[in-house]
Amino acid sequence: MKKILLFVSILFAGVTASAQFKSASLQAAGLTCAMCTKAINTALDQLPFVAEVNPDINNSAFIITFKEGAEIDFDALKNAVEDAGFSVAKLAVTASFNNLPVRNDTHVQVNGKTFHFLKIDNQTLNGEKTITLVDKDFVSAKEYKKYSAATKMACVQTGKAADCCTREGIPGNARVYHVTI
Amino acid sequence: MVCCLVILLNGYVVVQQFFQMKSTTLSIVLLLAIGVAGNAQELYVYTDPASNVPARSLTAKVSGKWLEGYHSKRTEWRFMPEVQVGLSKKWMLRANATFSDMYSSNVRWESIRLYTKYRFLSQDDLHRHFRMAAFAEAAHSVNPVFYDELNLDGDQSGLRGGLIATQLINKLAVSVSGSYLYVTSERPKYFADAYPYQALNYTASAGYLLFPGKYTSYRQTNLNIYAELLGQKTLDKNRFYVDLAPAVQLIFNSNAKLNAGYRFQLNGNMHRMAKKQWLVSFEYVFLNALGKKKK
Repeated sequence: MKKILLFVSILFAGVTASAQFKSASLQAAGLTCAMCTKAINTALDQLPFVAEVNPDINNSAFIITFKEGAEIDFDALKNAVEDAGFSVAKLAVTASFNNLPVRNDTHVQVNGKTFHFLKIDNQTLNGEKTITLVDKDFVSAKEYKKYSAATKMACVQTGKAADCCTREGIPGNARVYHVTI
Repeated sequence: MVCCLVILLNGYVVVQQFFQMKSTTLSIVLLLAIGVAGNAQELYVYTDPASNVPARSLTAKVSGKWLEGYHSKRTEWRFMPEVQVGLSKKWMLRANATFSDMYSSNVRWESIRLYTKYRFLSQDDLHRHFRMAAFAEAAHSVNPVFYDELNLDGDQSGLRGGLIATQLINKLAVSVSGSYLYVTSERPKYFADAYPYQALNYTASAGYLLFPGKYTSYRQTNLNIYAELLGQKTLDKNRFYVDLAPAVQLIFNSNAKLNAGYRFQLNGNMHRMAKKQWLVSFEYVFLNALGKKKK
């Protein structure tokens, strides 16, 4: 049975599933003032795939609504926060999935992007679900340490496809987003 | 809190000057630094924090400084227009000019200055950060030199370089800086040796947000109060001053700042143009002014 599951998971790793990324909840770190929050707000608002940004100034947090059908770039969200002078503490993305099986410590392709699920129970994602990015600079240093220890694969160190991923047919150096549920 | 105190009291000179101050004043400064347990701000009025201007953003500032001249015994003022640009998330540039009637009967142009700051360390966490930055500046002034006090605020020509460390812990922000200043302005003939040329500057700043208690929108007006300790010790002559500069700041619409401060000497043995002065400034931030605009 285990072998069959492994075979199925490898099969799925090579298959591109589709999902509709709808919104994200972003918490920024390193600030308290409204002026600083506005700088991040403005930077996020300028991104071409962002439809709307709703701030929660007290918590330095933002609800970002994506444009329908637009190519979503999670790194661009992080860079916008950093360019404003701050860091990302948490980025949780809500997407609509259609029967996507995900397994712990395994790669899966969604909308042409590679996701590597960490510290999850094996499950099938269906309907609206929220996934949280755990790559370096998307969480606090402490959180990143916790999640990067959850896999032996080298891609978690750089966020780029390493030997671990290319064996599965993922192009070398391709961006691999490490996520949890 | 102990950590904050250590940072605040960092450096031999700071400690040395602290002990030269009256104990009551020392208490006030420490209480201000310790007591700001609420939302502290680091948009200081007299000093720069280690944090930077957002990348691709521009700020425009005008400042006015008023004092009573030591020699003239009249109220003199200086007008200082300034622009800042965030070249990247770590690097910023600033240029300013000064105009005053402090060395002439009418207001005239007197100096230009270029300033650059690079943030080389940034450790962010929720409502917490520690940042360090290095800065350098150069000024050219046409003013003659009559005083011991060294600065690049319009009075003298010279170079300055230094380090800034800013710590935000549980909404308490403290910033300290130390810098070396070398003044190149020519001194009066035959008396050149009587004046200092090099100085060590140090600052310690704390800020507190009075209003609003809770944020509901970017349009809320913010009221911040600040207390900054500004000190100088000349290296070639044994002269010094320690100033305290309380200030208030209003922030409108999260992009315009109106500052008012009063700087006065706590202790010192320098021949200065004035031992107290007023400062009023207005600054506007143009976020993403140099970035790509979304269609």
